[in-house]
Amino acid sequence: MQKVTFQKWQVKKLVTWFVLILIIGGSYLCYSTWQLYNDKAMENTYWNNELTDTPEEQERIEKLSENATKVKVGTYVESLKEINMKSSYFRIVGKVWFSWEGDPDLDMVNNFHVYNGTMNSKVVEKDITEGNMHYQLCKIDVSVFKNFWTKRFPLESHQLRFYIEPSQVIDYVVFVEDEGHSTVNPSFSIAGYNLIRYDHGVHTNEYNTTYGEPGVEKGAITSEFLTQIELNRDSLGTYTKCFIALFGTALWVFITMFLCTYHRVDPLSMIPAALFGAVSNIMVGANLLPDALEIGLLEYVNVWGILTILGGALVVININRIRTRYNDNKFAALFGRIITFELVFIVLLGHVLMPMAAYMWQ
Amino acid sequence: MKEYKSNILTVIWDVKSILLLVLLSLIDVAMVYFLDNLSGFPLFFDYFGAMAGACIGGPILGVLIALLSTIIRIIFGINEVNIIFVLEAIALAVFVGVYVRLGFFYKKRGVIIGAVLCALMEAFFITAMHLALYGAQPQNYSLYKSLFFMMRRIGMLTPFASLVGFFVTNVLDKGIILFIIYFLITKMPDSIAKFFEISKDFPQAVVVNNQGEEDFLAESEKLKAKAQEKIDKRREKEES
Repeated sequence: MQKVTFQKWQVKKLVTWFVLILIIGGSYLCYSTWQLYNDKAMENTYWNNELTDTPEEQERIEKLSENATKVKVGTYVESLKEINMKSSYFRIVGKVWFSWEGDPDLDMVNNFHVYNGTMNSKVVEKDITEGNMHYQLCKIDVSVFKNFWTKRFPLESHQLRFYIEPSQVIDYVVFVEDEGHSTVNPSFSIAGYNLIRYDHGVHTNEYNTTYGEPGVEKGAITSEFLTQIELNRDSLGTYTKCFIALFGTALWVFITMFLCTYHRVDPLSMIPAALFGAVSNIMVGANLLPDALEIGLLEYVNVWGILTILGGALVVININRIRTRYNDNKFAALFGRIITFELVFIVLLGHVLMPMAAYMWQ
Repeated sequence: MKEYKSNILTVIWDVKSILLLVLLSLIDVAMVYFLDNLSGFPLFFDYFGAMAGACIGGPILGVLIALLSTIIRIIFGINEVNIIFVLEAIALAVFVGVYVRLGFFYKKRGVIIGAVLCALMEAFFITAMHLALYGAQPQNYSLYKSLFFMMRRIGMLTPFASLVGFFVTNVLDKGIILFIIYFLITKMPDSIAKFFEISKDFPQAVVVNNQGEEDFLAESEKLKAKAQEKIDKRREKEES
């Protein structure tokens, strides 16, 4: 029977460091993956919420719009000129059309706006009247304000919405979706993203203010036509760009742990240099985001990198301590091997699981 | 670097070890498919083969069994997303292999401690993987589910409720698997042990208080070995 002898302090050190790295690394991973997955799952809820009114709301809307002119609305999204997360807006080019019967003075094309948007240009392309039927088509270039969800940046998806809102309240004009005609340009593309889905619907908006207008008791209610598209990152390009310095840093830390374990080299002075890699990393990512941003993938991975560096430094310090205080090179090598393997494994697991949790897989 | 040699990763490659590798991989795959069809089974019982291989042939053999069984399952149509769980199997195989080679597995108390440490490691890794892939959806294991909902009811955050559920389930799961492996190896018929060249004695860890005791132990082992050599030589002489 082969016997392996350990001293009590050796068993204590090995078990303590094994369990400590496991608990700290494991807890952090569990929390960060949960946060990222939750944000991803919320996208679906958010997508569906905006499209439907509750049955009670629908009943109320039908009552209010009894005498309103029903206007069929449709949109065609031609292209996305710009997504600007730093300045919180996107710029979209498309076409909007209206068709209704009756009310010859309605002139919808000159009596609508995009909610929370700035019209950069509007060109009326068609204005047709045939008997009682009216049809108007225009091309719009509009910048729409949007608070981007940055939690999963740089593997995030975005739901871009714009609302066509009439100048008249729901008592006079109610929108109806022109079913089957609203769509997105089949050649739609934007650098760095894929279009994954789009949808349209009618949405009712109730303002919570009368703007102090005399004689008005309740806020205005308007019928809006919603167009929403969802974009998803098309590759790991931005992710790699953001974290390449960090990966190099982690690799460097692993090399120092290897050197310390297998050769009698004290590489502790090399580790602070690795911190510069982590810092430069943080700068790259921070420049791409709005100034006010949520704690998310970018921070989680950067903190993970910092924990890697700290963990590596502590392992190296421990190995050195075993060599100097106990003069035990054999156990120092064993300790180094086991804890280095554990640290490398957990770090790699983190770099696989965090992007996996964040990215919206099709 | 001779002083650093610990023999933890040593594997003796021959036809019998390759046969063992294939056999244990097939056992792994068979157990997963069998248990997947057994509704209501409260435990996981996966990677039995990888853990047994790690106990017998060390961490490298265990890792190869885990990889081979995953490849077989891919060929038979496993959901690609589940390939990530091979990392869990690798961690298990390495842990069990190193634990056995360091000599902590030779007593039943060591098996229990090993099961607890194994379960702790498993719980963290598998919770993170499940949260990344499936979010907080409770998995379809009755024991895990009950624990998960119990922890949520007392206000624990979802990932930590999941962690507790996986930990307790894994303590039982890994404990049972490790004890089965322990008894299978120690009580194995001699013919099978001889055929596969499996040692029925696990390495034994001896914990001492200080360097003096370690040196004393090393010296006593040397003297015992010398005395045993003398006794064996005398026996040979008497027999001849």
